[in-house]
Amino acid sequence: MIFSSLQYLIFLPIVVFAYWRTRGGARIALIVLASYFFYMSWLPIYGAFLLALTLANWALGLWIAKVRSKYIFWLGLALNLGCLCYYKYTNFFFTNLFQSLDFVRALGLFKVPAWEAPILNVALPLGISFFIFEFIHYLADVYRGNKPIKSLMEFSVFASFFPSQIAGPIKRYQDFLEKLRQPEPWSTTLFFEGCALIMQGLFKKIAIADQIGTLVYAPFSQAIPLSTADVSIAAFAFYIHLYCDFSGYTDIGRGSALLLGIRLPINFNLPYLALNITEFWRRWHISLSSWLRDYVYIPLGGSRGSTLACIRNTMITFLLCGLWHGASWHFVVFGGFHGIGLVINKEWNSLLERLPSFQLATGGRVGQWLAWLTTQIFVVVGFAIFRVPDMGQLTTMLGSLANVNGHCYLLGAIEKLGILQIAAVYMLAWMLTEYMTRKPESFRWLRDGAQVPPLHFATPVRLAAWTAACCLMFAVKPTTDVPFVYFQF
Amino acid sequence: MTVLLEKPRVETVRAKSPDRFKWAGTVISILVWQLLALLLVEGILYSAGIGEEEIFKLDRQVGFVHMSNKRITWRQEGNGARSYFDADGMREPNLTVAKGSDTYRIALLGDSQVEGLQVPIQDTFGQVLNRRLSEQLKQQLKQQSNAKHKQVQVLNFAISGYSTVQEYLQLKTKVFKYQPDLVILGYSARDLFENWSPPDQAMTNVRPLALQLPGAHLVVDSGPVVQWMHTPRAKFLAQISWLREHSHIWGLIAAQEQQLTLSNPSYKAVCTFISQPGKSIRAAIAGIPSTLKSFGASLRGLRQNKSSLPQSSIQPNSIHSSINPTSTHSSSVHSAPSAVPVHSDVNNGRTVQSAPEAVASGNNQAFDNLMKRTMGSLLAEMKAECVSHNAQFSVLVMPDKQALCPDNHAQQDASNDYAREVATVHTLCQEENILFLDCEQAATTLTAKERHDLYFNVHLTPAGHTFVAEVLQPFVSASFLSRFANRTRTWPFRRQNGSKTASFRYTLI
Repeated sequence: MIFSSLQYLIFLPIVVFAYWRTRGGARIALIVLASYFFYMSWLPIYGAFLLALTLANWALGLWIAKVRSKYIFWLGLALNLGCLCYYKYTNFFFTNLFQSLDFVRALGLFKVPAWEAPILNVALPLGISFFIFEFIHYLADVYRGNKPIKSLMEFSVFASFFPSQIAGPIKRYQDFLEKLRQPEPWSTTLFFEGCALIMQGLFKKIAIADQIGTLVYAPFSQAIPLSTADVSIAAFAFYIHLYCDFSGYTDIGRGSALLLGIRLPINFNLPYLALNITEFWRRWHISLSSWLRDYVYIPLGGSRGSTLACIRNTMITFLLCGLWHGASWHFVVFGGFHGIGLVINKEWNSLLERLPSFQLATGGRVGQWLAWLTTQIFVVVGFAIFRVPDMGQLTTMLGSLANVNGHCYLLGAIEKLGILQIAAVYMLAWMLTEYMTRKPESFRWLRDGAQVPPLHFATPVRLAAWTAACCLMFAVKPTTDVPFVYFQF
Repeated sequence: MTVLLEKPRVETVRAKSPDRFKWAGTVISILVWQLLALLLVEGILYSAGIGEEEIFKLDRQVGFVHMSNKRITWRQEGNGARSYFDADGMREPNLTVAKGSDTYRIALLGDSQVEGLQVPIQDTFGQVLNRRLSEQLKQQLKQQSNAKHKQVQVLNFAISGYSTVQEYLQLKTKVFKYQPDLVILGYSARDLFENWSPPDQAMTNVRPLALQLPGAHLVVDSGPVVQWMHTPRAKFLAQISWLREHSHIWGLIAAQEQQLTLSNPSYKAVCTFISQPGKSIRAAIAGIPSTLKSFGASLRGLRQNKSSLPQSSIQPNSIHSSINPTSTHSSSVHSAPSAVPVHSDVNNGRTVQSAPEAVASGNNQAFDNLMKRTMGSLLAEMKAECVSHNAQFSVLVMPDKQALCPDNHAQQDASNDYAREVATVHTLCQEENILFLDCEQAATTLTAKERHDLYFNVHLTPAGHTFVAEVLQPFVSASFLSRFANRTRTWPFRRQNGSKTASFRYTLI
């Protein structure tokens, strides 16, 4: 069951209705039940896997809180990372190990027997990377002295909460538990806010991401002759596709949680407006970058110590970030690429601090535009590395960049999609809401009254916007449901 | 005291009166905003060319025709080709009905394969042929002294879903006013069996019928169309004709609905039930014994010979059910003659009802013979009409994807069926002395990859259209155009005599 499917649009209202009709323990049990139903609709057996991990981590958390033993904590860490590595990295590890052995054999330095790499034929449990990170955070925080969750049901909700189960945001248990115990009361404002988030997410996913995704597939996956324009368009299309797909998912998840009175943390804060790569990671996939900061970068030493140590910590963090995304070398290259970008950015900033006159020259409007452009081109290239299926395809695409005079077949596809018009409407709507947020005095007639928050639109306006969004989604909806990109992680 | 008591009452009334009508203001506000939203969506869809695939309007005689003055963007297949139907439903730009004396006009008839909505009009084989023949004519005339300037014009009259009987009616009602010199009928798979098909929910399946019984004349009957136009669905479509022509949102709904109609039997059953509940229930009850019977027969293995039949949309069983008065499909065929009594002078007293009865009582061969005979008569009639309008007539067999690129056994069977159909049409053309060109045969000489490249999912790509034009060019040039190029004064062509079917009459209901 994916968020943009008809099943989910039936499932969610039933759960929301039942949630507000129950109280206390029954309500918690209902969320657990709904979450497991949601998760097991994909592959029932992994419901047992999630349940087993939940029980183990809950027990380990209580044990750690009781005995304060680092060995127990390491045991919990090993258990969680072991599961993640088994499902996600076993094939990657064995394939590379046996390729290395083949290489050694080819050199003829040692006698190495010819073995065939074992292949593990298991499906990756959906959302494993996300809930494992949540478990690690829980165990680490309990080990640091935070109170554990005593109620198994509450812990189960934290572990399996369906709006954030598959692709985040990666929750912090202290914050989540507080909201779970004291959810926001039901009101029309809450309802409209939740529905607006869901509608926004669905629009991003169905009307934009799924449309642009059709432009991305062929150039990134098939050995077809590409021109410079094709490669550029495909890379830019994926840059838009990934944001709309992932932030669309997060919006639907946050909207669904809000309908249950629980406000999940934001995951994106206009990342494509970032002026440098450090700022980009403060705005993109915020829950992951803050997790990496708190549980990898700072324990490694953070920015304390020598420049070299700081660079080392940054590179390790981002190489792990790349590897977390998938078991393939191009993900490692993606992480390394962003790590290098961050290091360069830090060095550049320290250079500017040492040269105030240079800082003045680059701090102007032109300088800011250049900074934005450079950052976004860097991000586009990084996401192209992220998207390629393997390093071979990356090389092919880089080679195609030289084919300046080649025929660009993607232009015809863009015209067929009609995506430009729909994206233009979305941009206009977004700019309008941004303007209204910054200047609350403007467009009063669109709102319920002067005293309400800036984006509290009048009900007729809100309903009209939803009608328009639904019509446009219906107009371009693909015949089959397209899964979210981050579901594979 | 009284005053004190009354005063607040008045205030209450005054205070409540605006609230009483507040809901009305809210409702009006919601409606206005909804209208604005829909207009915005219409604007976006118009600029993006989405929802422009609603292209047919009902026609009492032919069944359905292209809408007039309608912009379309065909997205179901291909790369979203844009076209424009003029007031007469034609796609050719700047087309005039009047023909210049120095113009050789070729009219193409057919269904979606010939129509080619999947590609821009300039890429359809008609226009490719137009360019090639014009160039060829120019070169030929250059070599002749005192030669007047002459040109070729290919007009595409084809409409998706058309059967041969519809093409025949279209020829009579529309094509001849364009004064064509040559009429080419495109034959596609199943055309042989579509001249007698019961209508269903889809407008593109509403067709007149044509039948020729042994020893009788050809009957062309628009009764099924007229009958269908009295159904609630047809009335509804007629009521919203403005919306159908102009609304892109409706275009989307219609496309979705069409998909459901084609692919979802449950939806089809629900639609039938909503439109004709009493009839549906009666038909369902009446169908129970035959269902049980056929189930029992299948258990006993009595239907072994069925696989040898051509996979036509009308099987003998369906014919049998169509003459059953309790069947849902019966009304169109069965009651048409009673609605419009017309065929007394041509049928020699035989009625349409007797046709299916005669077939149903016979075997599959009788059905095939009926369809073959009907097609032969239609072709003969078309030729006779062309001759009477100083035009020539020929048949072009379109290459069929399932036949050329079969992926599985079922498609292999379909391929064999198409080969049989083509052979039948070829025989009929020989009998009627009609020039016949087999593009299917020509396509078999291509490699497997080249054959695949001719098609999108079902219909021809620009490469496919170019291929057909390449095959057609020498045929048209050698058989027809050379005489036009060599003729210097007399126009039109000498009328061809000796047609076997020139005195043949038809009945149009």
